[in-house]
Amino acid sequence: MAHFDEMTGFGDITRQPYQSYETWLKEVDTDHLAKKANRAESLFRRTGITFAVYGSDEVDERLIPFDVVPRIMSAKEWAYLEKGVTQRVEALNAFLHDVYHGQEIFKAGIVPEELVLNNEAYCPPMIGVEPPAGVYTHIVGTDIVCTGEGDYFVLEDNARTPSGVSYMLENRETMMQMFPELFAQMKVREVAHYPEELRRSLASVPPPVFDGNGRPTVAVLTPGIHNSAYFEHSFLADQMGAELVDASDLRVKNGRVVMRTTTGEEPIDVLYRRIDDDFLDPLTFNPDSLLGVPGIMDVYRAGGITIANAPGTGIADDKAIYSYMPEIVRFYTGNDAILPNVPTHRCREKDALAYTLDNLADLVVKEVHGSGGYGMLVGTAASGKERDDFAAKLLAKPENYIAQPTLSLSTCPILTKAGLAPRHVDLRPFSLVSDKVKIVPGGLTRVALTEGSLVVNSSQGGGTKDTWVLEA
Amino acid sequence: MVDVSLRIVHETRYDYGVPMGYGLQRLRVRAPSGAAQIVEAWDVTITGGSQAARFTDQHGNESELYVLTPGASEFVVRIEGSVKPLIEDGVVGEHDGSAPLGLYLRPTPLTMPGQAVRALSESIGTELADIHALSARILEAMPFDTSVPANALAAEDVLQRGAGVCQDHSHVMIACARHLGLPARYVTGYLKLNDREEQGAGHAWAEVHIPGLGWTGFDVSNGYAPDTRYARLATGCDSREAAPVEGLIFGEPQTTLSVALRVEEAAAQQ
Repeated sequence: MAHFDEMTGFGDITRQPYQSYETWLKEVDTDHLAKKANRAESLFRRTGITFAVYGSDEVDERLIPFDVVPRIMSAKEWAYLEKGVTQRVEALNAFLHDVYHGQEIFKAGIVPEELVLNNEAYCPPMIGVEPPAGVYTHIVGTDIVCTGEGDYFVLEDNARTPSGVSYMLENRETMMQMFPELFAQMKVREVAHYPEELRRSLASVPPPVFDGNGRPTVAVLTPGIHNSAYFEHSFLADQMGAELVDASDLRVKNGRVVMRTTTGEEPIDVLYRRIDDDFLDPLTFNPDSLLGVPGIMDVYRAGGITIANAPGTGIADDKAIYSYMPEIVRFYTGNDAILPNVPTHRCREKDALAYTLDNLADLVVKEVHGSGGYGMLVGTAASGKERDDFAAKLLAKPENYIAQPTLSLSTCPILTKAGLAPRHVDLRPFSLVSDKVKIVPGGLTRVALTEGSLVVNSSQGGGTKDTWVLEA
Repeated sequence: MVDVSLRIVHETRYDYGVPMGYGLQRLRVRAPSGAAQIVEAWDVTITGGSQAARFTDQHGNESELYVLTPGASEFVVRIEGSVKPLIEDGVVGEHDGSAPLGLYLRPTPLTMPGQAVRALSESIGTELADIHALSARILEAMPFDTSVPANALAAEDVLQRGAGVCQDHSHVMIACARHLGLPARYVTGYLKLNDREEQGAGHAWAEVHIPGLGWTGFDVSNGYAPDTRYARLATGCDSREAAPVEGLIFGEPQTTLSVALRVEEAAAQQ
């Protein structure tokens, strides 16, 4: 099957955004690139970007492989994506407000009520809660794939605690150190202001208790150093000039959530939390959790703190809800979705289940609550036995799965020992939501390093690339 | 209608034995006025803590979070109030409030149906008489027995144990009703028992949303439909969400809990 390549299209052309890069590439040889790649790796080791992989007994810290060939987009391509993602993020926030308030979308018969209310990701304590400035998803990561010239699809919305933005920033910094001449020649839009934008965005949604004097106090809540994204938590806190805290640093006092700092106790206005709802507050959620801040939900509900992202946003990125996104976008924005969804079969529906079972070899089947590429079947890559085993799981709990066609994801060249070779990529732009949606140009490009593989998740052996959006 | 009010004096005292460091208590102790009752007077006095948050939760309960006063060795909640019950047959009526009715179909860990719950709900219909029959069936399967441990266990477990108190009966009723496709909820409050005024503890019962009637109360333990002897405090999907007092204490104090509760009938003030 011919794949669309970000650099060469379907054939031997050089796509417009890559023309300057290709001219440069002709002048340097791949040995030069390989040397740069080695230097990049040692730079990463020094800055300490690591990523812990779950699932094995010894959690092993390793570098997420970084590839030195950039993924390049034209200004026009980006303008389209930016518009599409903005629309989608606005619709997600409207949907979240609705499912926790008037529930108009159920009454309109667009999304089945029981699919939301019986969903584990639906958070009853959020019913009737008005989050500051009406923002639920302060940070959204939208996973986008491309299958041809201008043919983009949204694969997934990440509305809980999307990660990866630190790689976007570090990748750029490294590329600028490696290839200053390229950045001098090509007008690449900056991404380095992301932490500043994040801070501004978070500070613009203080809780009702904030008195308006000075700047709101922002803190980043991490589950701790054993979390796979700990590096990112500390990186972002550092870059924003915010305190990095874990739950043991926090407690409820005088109607606020206060953090212990070297200079005493300080009330937090906006908490950028990087822990899941379940572990946020043992008094409201999982009573067995030792990670959370008891009572923080009560303070939140009383207007004493902003929690970003708001609790209960997981219902918006549930894969069963995903399949309704085109209708959801139309319902809340009045317009058709700019960015299409991947056609999705909901296995909870009888016909969809039958179709999925009949076509397992051609489909990608995912768990509705899963993430990180775990628990999914890539039919084209699976053995007959793997497919049979999966079919049994599917039959036992069909409502737990959705199925999608295997998309012919675009490729982008990476540097291998044998020179440049195409590998499949996706793209995760990061949206910041306050009174408006702001997206730093580009995002994180993830790349499946194994030839032919479609799984780009870093927990499954994926790597990353710098993403360039050209100014013109 | 009998023009009678219930006068309630309820004191809950946690004696920790030692001066406390950090701890929280969440209270749902503000009796609501509504279709079931009119609250004529209601005073809550807290000793040993300061209020950190107050909000209306998804079930309409006025919830309050208290932080224990550092160094205090006890926490006391004293409620003194008067409520005029308005219903005589358990029927509260149509659903009202910010939570969608469908929320009360959602199983919680304490009301997750298992084999025993499913078996007990077998061939039960969804009419009022059916749910009364279900109530009787539950009491028969698990007679009232105050010797069981007081901590909240899941409906399936208490049903298999075959004995329980009002909390257990209510959880089983809720689990069965939801299994039958009827929304159900847990109510905490007070019952004026006919033969006495001093009560050992607060009470709890279940409400099932029956087509045509709306929310209808079932006091499985006593076999009553809640009437003018009942006063309500809080509602939730299960006991955890409706508990009048719910605490989280750090450290391992030797806590002694004592409850003094008096519920008496008083002629309405007119």
